[in-house]
Amino acid sequence: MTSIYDVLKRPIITEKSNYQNTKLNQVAFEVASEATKAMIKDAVELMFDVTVERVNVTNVPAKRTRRWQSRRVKVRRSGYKKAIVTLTEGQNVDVFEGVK
Amino acid sequence: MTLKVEQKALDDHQVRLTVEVEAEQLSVARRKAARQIAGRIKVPGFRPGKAPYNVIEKQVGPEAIQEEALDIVLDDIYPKLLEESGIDPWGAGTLEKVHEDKEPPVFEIRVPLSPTVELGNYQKVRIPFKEKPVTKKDIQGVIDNLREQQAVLKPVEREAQEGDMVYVQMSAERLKPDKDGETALIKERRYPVVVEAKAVDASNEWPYPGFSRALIGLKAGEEKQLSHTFSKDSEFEDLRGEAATFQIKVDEIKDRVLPEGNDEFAKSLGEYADLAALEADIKNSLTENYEQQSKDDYETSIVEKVVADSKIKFPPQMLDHEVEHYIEDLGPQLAQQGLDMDTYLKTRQITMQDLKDEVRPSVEERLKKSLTIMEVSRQEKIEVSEQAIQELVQARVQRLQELTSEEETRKALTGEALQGLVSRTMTEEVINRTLARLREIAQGGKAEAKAKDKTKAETKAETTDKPKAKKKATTKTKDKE
Repeated sequence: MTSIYDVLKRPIITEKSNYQNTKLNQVAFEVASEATKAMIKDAVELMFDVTVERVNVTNVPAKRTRRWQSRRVKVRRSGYKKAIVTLTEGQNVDVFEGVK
Repeated sequence: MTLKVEQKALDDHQVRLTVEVEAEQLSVARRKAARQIAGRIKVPGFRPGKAPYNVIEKQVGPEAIQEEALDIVLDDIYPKLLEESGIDPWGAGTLEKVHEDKEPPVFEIRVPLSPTVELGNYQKVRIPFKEKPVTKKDIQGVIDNLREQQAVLKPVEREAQEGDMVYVQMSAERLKPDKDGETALIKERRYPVVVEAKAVDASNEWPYPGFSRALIGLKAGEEKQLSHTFSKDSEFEDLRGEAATFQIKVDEIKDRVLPEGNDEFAKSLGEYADLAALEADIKNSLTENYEQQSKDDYETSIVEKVVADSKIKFPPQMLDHEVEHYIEDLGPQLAQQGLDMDTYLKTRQITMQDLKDEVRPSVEERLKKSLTIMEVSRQEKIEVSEQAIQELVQARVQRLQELTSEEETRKALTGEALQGLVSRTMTEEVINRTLARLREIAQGGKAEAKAKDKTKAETKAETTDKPKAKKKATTKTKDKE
């Protein structure tokens, strides 16, 4: 497969992830579907120069929605794998600034 | 919180304030601004208004937040600023510059001051009241006009003379075709022409002064060719500066028989017993007219003198504002003539800016006058009691009721409209009284002695000065809005 640099696809910035970031010292990423917890831990530690305490992974299911203009046509939105990475106390990843 | 304010007066009746703001205040405002922006825009992943500061900054850019933050800071400090610097603003100030890089940040704000009027010694203004007497000649002129209107046309077979009505077939050709290649200046048609007497001032005669005199001596059926170059300041705009030849054929000549100015004629006009009664009536109405006119002229001259003596200062924004109002008022006037602003500008071939520049001097004059009058009323402590206002308003309402249907009256008297009427009446009344006062002063400073008489003078002023006062009052009320 691929290198360790392909594991993290994008940071997830939402109200929920913002809460996790500020209150629980966690960062959420969309990750490659074949990534494992260990790979994610390595990737985050390498790229952001932090120590990872724990990684939780979940598969976000695909969702069906309707097309914007013709409401009858149903569209399938693909799912993805989400990783919630807990960092050690006092460390943070500035997801808004990008990779260091 | 303390403010460090520096004041610097500018030439055009404005003040530049330089304010130092604490850096902390600005950053607080920035947070607040981000909150507000968050409520307005949609950020994916966040409910409206819930996005944090850095997400917002990323989304809209720091400049937008900065702008909003400045507004907030200004809203916050502006009232305090005015209070501390003790200035009396006419309108909202404008933020000129922000030195954010400085520590602490510095704002420069330009504030237009409210107008000040330093009256000259208006108590000393003395202008003799000139009455314009009605002369015999004036009366005769009116009668002659009436006679002309009653003239009977009688076809005659002779040469055209002075005073005749001549019907001609006429056309005029340009010597040089205009830019559309059109050579006909005046299309061929039948025109009635009155042959004017030599003595008559014929500057507004159509198509050119002295034209009708060229017809003298012609008989019906005869033709004549004329050439004429119109002067640059001809009465008729589209003919200015044109050189043309006229082809004229006399169709018909009619003698205008004017009725004799005698008792018979007076009776034919209606309810007059004889010529003397007619003359008396004309004299009455002329006297009224002249009185009104001389009174108006007199007032104008007084006000002009007072204005000339005073030092009036107002910010340029105020003048702009007045000009805007003037142009707004022009709209309905044009609508009455079936025009709108765009067509009006097009026909005159000017832009909005030109129009504004054009009206500016007269508007400035008007503004100065109304400012001065208001100042005089303040100095003279002219006040109108509530009761007086009520009476005046009631009188107006009554008049309105007589003129319009019940429904319209009710519409005109609800809420804001009524309020407007009251405040308008009030300013009008103040202006009336002020003018009356000025008149007293100018007529010989019998200010004290006349004080008792004042009520009398006022009632007189009310009845006679309405139209003029009205005009001023409307401008004034607008100032207040």
